[in-house]
Amino acid sequence: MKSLTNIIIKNSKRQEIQETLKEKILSFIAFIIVFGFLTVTMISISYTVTYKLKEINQTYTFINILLLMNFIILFAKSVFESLNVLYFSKDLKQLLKMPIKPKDIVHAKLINMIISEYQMEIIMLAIPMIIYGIIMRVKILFYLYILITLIILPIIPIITTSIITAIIMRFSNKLKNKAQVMYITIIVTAIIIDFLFTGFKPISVSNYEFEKAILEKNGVATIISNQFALLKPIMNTILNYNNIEGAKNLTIYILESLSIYIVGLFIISKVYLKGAIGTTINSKKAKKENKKLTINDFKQEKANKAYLKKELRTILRTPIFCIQCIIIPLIYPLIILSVLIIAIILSKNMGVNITEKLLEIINTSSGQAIFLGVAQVFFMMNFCSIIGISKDSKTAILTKTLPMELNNQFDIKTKIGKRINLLSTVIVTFAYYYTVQNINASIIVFSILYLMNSIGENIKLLIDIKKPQINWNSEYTMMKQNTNVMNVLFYTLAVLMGLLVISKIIKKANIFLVTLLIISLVAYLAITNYINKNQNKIFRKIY
Amino acid sequence: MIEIKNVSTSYVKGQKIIDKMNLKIEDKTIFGFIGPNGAGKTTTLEMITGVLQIDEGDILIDGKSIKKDPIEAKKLFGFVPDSPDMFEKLTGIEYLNFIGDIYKVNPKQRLEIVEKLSRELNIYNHLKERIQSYSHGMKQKLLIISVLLYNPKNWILDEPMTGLDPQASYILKELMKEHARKGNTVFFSTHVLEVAEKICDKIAVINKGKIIYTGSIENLKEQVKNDASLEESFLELIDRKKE
Repeated sequence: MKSLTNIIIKNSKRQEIQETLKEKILSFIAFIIVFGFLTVTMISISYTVTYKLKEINQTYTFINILLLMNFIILFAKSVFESLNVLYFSKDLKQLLKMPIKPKDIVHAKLINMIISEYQMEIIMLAIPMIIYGIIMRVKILFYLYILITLIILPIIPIITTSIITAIIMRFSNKLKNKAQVMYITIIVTAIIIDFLFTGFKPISVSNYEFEKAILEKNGVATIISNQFALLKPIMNTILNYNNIEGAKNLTIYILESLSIYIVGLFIISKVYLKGAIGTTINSKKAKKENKKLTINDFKQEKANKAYLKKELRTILRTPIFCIQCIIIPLIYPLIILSVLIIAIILSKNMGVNITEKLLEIINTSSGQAIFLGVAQVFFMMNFCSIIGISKDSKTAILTKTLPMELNNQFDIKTKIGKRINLLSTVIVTFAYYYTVQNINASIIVFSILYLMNSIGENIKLLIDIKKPQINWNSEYTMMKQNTNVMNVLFYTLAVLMGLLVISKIIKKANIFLVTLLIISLVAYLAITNYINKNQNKIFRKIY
Repeated sequence: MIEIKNVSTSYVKGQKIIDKMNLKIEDKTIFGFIGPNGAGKTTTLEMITGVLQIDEGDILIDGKSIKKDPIEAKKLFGFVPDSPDMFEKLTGIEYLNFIGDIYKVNPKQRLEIVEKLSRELNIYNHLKERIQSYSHGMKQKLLIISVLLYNPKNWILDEPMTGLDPQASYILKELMKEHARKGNTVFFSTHVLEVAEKICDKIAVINKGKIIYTGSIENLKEQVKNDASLEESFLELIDRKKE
């Protein structure tokens, strides 16, 4: 069983066979930079938050929120992880042929899933906790408890979602339709999580309770731990690390996790085989739909439109692509817009004119750089173009044989990303117009953002084409192991730095905007020209 | 007609995987491309179809250069790759419509061809299902239909029989013969020598990126040893080159 676990873990790692030493070194440097950037960001946030909370005697709140946040992220991730690792990984066909008990396969795969979460936990949990520990000058035992927490925290989310997934897969009649199973699993998991956390009771704390908690030392932390029963033992473990309560709660949480693991392993093993076999064979069930072909099934469309439709269908019919390429880039700007509207309404009620405050900021070139920077961060969240080639898997090779200009295919592949980013462009422009009430300046801002969006999407696709990840086991692993995403972060940082530098050089807001428009236009034309002239060279790595 | 003129290519600079290859596949011919694993069969086909870049030389499809005039050249062939990786999220019919739109095939013609071939190849009832639910053989059949949909003059097939059931394999062989009879070209790679022996008018044997034989199967047998099978002749030829 140990060797099976090792093989599954090794197999889950991305392996670039043709990577040269230079590329390996560059990848390593890129990883260090991104890891370093995330670490510094987490350190800075943790430091600020801990200090602010220390001033009001609520430092434990930080720990509880951190644990809660990690727990929710782990749950969300494990929906995709459990489906892809347990049911839709390509090793399944081989494993099912071997004389291995389902229990052993499930055990090896569960361990693989748990271990794969540690990397995220180091950044999102361990680093903030260590910063907290340094500021609060905790004893060495605190760090030991953090280490144990890090190891056992993913168990409950992964096993719970895996049980849900296994049961759905066992009784699903549409085994081959991964997308539907995934959407069903997401909904069922969300309902179960809600039940596990709150028992369907709305989280309600009266003003009086909250005011009282604020005055008590770590009162807010107690409110949080009382609301989330499942996490209470682990929260209490960290909070009481220096007394017997801590050890007691840790024991409870370890026992909870182990029990869930054992029960989960038993349940999943019992229902696993039928669901797993179902994903590897053809669905022979009769479909209700009419199978007869008529002339209505064949409608002629222009080649470009047909290609765009094909791209859109691939994204919409793959949940992980749909979430990363459409839902997230549409939802985040809307959330920010809602927050902005609420802030404006609330501030008006409180007699504060938030627009004036914004106007003070926006009248400087730095303020305008911030506005444009916000849009650039929204653009970063859109994965359409960074997986433009990789999402097609090996079919990307087949598209090269089509009688369609490669630069045309390139353009179509970036179209969806560009269109989705239009929402962020409009929202940021609207916020800008609302503040400055200047139509000309707003048109320039819109034009700059439009160009920034087009340049960004082109660059993202160029990154993907330069190092396409077309040999993947499942869509989820491709997304998870796609190191190209790191380069988007670099690109965004470079744009933000560029905006900052230009705003420092050109202090006058109007001149800053016009200069930026010219720079964006030149950059856009240069990159379009490069793509048109080097289409064969650009697509060379796809074979 | 497909002409490969003095073509070389390499994945890594300085390491040629195809070295100065010359080959002419005439019209009205079923041309088999034979060689051991890793000999360069798929690489050659990928160069012809524009997937792989040609470092030196040129390839002409009915006189159109895949290097200088790729779009026009690509209109003149249909390619069935060795691994039927396709847009798995599309249904069979959506994929065929996509190909029909790219090659500008009118709906009436699409219906006629798809209906006829899908019934013959036994996947008619699955065309409205997603490709991800298809077996290897069904994907292969769909790819074959997609190529026949726009009826290109030159068919290029990489290991086309792999994964096909005996009936589909027979139908494909008949289609290949008929296509060549009509004055067109069929160029396909295979390591199944019986298939080559049964249907090829001519063959080329490739080993380590170089063509070591071009001509008819009969000639090859005569060159090696009288009354030898194609398999024996092939092995003898490869062994000779090793020496």
